Amino acid sequence: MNSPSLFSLVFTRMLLCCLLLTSGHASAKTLVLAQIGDRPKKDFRQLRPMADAMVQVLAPFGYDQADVQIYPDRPQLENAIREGRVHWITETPLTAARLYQQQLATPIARKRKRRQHAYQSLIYVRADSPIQTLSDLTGQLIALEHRNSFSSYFLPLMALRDAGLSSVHLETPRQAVPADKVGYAFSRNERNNLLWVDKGIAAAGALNDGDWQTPGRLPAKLLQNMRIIHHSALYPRAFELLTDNLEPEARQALQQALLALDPSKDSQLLMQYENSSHITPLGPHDLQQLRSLDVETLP
Amino acid sequence: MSSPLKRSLPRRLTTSFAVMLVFLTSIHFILLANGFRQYSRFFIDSGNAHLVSSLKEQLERDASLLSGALAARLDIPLYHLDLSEIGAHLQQIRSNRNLDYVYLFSPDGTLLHDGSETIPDFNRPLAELVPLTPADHLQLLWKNERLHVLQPVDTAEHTAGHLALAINFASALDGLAIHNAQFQATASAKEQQMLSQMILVTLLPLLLTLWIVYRFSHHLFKPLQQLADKSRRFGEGDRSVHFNMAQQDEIGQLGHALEQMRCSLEQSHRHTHQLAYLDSLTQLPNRHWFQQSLDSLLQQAQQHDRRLGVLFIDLDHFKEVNDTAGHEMGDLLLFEAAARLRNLLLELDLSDPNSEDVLLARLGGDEFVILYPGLERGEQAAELARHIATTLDEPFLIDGRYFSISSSIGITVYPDDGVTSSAILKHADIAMYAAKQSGRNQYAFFSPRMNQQLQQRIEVLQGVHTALEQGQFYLDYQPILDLADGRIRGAEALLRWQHPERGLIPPGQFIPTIEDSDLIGPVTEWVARQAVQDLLLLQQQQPGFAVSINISGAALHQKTTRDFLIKLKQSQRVPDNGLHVELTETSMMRHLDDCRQTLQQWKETGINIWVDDFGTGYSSLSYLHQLPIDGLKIDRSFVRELKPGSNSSLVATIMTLADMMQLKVVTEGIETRDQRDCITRLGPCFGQGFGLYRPMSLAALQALLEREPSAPDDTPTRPQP
Repeated sequence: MNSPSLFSLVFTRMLLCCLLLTSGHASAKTLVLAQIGDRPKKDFRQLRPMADAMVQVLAPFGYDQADVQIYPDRPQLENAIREGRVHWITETPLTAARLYQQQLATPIARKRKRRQHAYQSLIYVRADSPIQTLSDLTGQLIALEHRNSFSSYFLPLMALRDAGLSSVHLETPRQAVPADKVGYAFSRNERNNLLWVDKGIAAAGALNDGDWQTPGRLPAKLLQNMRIIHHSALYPRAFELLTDNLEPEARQALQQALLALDPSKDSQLLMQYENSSHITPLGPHDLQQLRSLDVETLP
Repeated sequence: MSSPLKRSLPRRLTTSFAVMLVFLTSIHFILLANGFRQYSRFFIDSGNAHLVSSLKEQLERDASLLSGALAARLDIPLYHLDLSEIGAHLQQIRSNRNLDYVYLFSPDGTLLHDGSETIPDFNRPLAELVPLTPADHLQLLWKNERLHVLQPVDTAEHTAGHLALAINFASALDGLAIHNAQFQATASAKEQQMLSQMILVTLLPLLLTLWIVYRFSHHLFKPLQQLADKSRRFGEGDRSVHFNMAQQDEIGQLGHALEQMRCSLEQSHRHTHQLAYLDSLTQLPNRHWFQQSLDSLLQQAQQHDRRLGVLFIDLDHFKEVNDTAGHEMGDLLLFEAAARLRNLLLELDLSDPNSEDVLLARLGGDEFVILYPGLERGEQAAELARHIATTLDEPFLIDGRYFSISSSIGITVYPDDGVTSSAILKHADIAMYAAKQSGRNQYAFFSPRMNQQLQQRIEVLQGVHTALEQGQFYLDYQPILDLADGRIRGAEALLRWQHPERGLIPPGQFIPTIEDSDLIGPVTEWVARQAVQDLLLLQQQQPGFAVSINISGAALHQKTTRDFLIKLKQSQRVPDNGLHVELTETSMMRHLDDCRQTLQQWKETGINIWVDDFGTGYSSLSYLHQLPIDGLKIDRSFVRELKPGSNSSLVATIMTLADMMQLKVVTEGIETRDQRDCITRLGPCFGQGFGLYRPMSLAALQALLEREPSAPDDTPTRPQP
């Protein structure tokens, strides 16, 4: 039997690739929805249906397919935006504030996520802990979720700064905390955050009120043993942002399409979309609030 | 039939062999079965152990893989100390695998997570929860069906913690145990099947072997069985049996030994038969044989309507031979007599081709008997009896001595004289006695009258003792006169029996009987004692008076009688010549030497010896000279012949002879005056008889002597009777 030669095989494949690339550029554009996350699979799964749904709306603008991009940190996201690779971002107030302040993206709608329209940060300790106020945290470790968390990073650190305390990031919770500072380490999620406090790994933790109040999200048994020592101000739960990489007509169309999603009719699609229930227009103070957030002060 | 067969040697041998074989085979089987069972158990167990160890190895590999994979997934969460993610991983693995526990420990050995939502055991030391101690490599430990695994979780080349988990493999191992049990059961079934087959395979050769053993032992013991059969036949009386076997082995030897035993048994049997049926002295058939022959001959005679003669022979005077010459001589005489009788029968050849032979038997003592079958006439028996009498009458020369005996023969004839053997023999015996009574050397046919005589004889014999004890005997005296002057010089004592019921018994009815019996001794002694007592009385009346007593032949030859008389004479101080004894010629002649000795002693003691009934017996003049005789009593038969004017030469001759020999003479049986005168004329002598004085009582004699004129003293020269 004659086996095909290596040359003919490579040639055939190269030809095929060229054809595909040429046709893409010529007739179709990809709508890219992006987010910062350390769990790409999860985030991808949660974002994809909405991206696929919205690309239909943008078909008249040449978008015939959607893509989801998860970036591990903000700088990479920012680079991608600058390079024109991202059209649409769904993010927490903190990231939204940064992108908005740097003029990389513009918030166009609020997202009611996890049945929360707005939320606040809570700092808690074990009920039997001697810590009563934030200042008692000096020389102690506080568990924060991750660097991109608004309620469990930005707001707690802001609260500490506001209380006159200086904080220091620790790679691991086992690391020693300087006596004059409040150490913080990342628990990566709310459940671990609570466990750290419960098991004494961290003296205090920070979570949003949604985590605290939604039954089943955290072990009730552990929550009972906790005492909240600080409540932050309320902030919108999440924002939908669009970059300038999307044409203004397309931006308009997408914004309208998102706001047009019916909580009852499109509940399934919304639910898939990071457990959302409604996408609403921006409040009158939302942009002001984003602009006033002191994102640069963070370490 | 079945019992001897059941105990037969081949069966016993086969049974023993079978028992032994079955026993050995059973042991063999038990050992084999046990060995097989152990073998199969061993293989099953070792197979199982191997399976268990393989399974465990596999399980260990699985567990290692599992823990490795889990540890690999836990490194980052552990690095971040993300208890929730750790918990999620642990919960996931717990839900998937049958884990007893799954723990994650911190490097300092305290619990970080146990897979639960709230981690209640957080910070508990590893040692309290896990039976392993941390190390930098994977550790495995089996506890029962649990595999405990302690796996280091490495992050960036340093141990960030330890993952501990225990997997419960009970179901897997139980499955193996069930499998093992099933295997065991299958093996057991196979084992049973194999044993059954082995039993079958062994049973057939076993049965075949037993059959061969049975046949072989049967063959081996067949000669023994034959010997046993022969022995049984021999025991049942088959005399044709012989035990000699052709073979030379042990059984042949046994046969030879049995044959020897049979020979000696036969010999012993013959000897016993002889002892039982033959008289040891004469080798003639004994009473037993005779009895049987008589019975069978009687039966034959009855069946064929024939006559049968029985001759009962008794030797006369044999007792005297025994007494005087000793039993040895007596036995020799009997032997000789038997030989003569046997020869006689051979010579006469009385055998009848139609009947049994004439049988001669010895009944015992001096009694012989002849069975005469096929007898036609009584005269034939009489003729035989005469031949026998003639034969036995010849003197016997034994050990240099002559013995004269005779025989008395009683004859009975079946069916005239009895139909039973006992009657025939008894009547023959009676007839023999009758013959003896009528004088010896006689024969007599039985007649019913003889029974009566025998009865009398028995009564006599039975009554003599009583008579002696109760004084029924008394003595009468017959005076003896000196015929020259008519004076009474002495008297002959005569025994009388006054029976309380039968009255005075005639002397002829009891004296011969006594003489023939053992009673002669005591009776003779009584007579002598009484006579001496009376003599002493009479001598007071008439000094020199003499009393004579009769001594029978039997008494004469008894030493006791001899000594008794001597002692009596001396103890009673009987004057010499006062006591006379009278003896018959025959009794003296029979045993002359013994007699001479006795007479000599008596003579020396002072007892006078007279020959009684002289002239009637078998006598020789020579003995008169040899014996110390004082006088002769001439038998009454001679006197009876004396008539006036007749020739009296015989009495005269005797008297002359006596005179020449200086012997005194008494003439017996003088009944008439003429006879007295006649004798008186012949010369001086004494007389006795009815014609002079009848026998009288002692008192009468004393009275007679009283009346007699006193004895003149001028007759000293006259001989005294």
